[in-house]
Amino acid sequence: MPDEPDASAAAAATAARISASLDALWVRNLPIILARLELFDRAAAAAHSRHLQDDLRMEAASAAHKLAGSMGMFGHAQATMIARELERTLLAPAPDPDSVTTLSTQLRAALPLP
Amino acid sequence: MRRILIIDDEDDIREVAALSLEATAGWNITTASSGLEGIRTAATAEPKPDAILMDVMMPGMDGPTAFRQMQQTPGVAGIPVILLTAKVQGIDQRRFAGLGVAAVLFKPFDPLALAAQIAKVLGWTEVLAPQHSLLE
Repeated sequence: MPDEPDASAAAAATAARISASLDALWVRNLPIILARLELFDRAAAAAHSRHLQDDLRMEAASAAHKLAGSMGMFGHAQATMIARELERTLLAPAPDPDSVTTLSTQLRAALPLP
Repeated sequence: MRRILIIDDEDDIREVAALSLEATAGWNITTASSGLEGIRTAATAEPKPDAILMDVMMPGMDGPTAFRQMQQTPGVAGIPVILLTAKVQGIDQRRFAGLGVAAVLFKPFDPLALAAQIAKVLGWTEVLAPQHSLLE
């Protein structure tokens, strides 16, 4: 089929363009991502000291929700799954501190961070 | 050329969705960063968007609230709205679908598949060029 190589080349070019844009966007978004990871660390520390207030807990749950919705878009499907689990954990009134710590550690490990 | 309004409070989501739809489908994209801004944008746009892609969880006015307000806004009420959500539990899906939106799509989306997903749920019959997935 004479059109197939052109269509395939066009698709590859589109994918390359989007991939390059995603790479650049990832770098630009790193400060936000790092800030969210630090927020999870604060929530975990507060949970361990039994001082996790609702506003911090819900802020961290919201941040986890945002990461769950975006990390897969950058190709980090594992991070999406972990963030989803972290959101679910933080939405509980009294999140298990060890679970929060473990999940935020796993999330850091699942992402290409500097 | 299809016109899509993307409403999401997250900069990266708006940017990637816009790039995705422009690059893979050649659609004309407008964006808004809040439900209120989205309603205003849709109400004043000429021509009107062919569809609205809107996040569910946004600060201030969330997606469902913005949708209900759109239904009361002349010129906007008839525009199909697709909700975009990171909530994947069945109960949330049913709640959103029960609002009367055209469809619910899930985050994270595949930037190379988003246009085809939108076209499919809205019954648009234009042929989109096949794309390779980035999410492999």
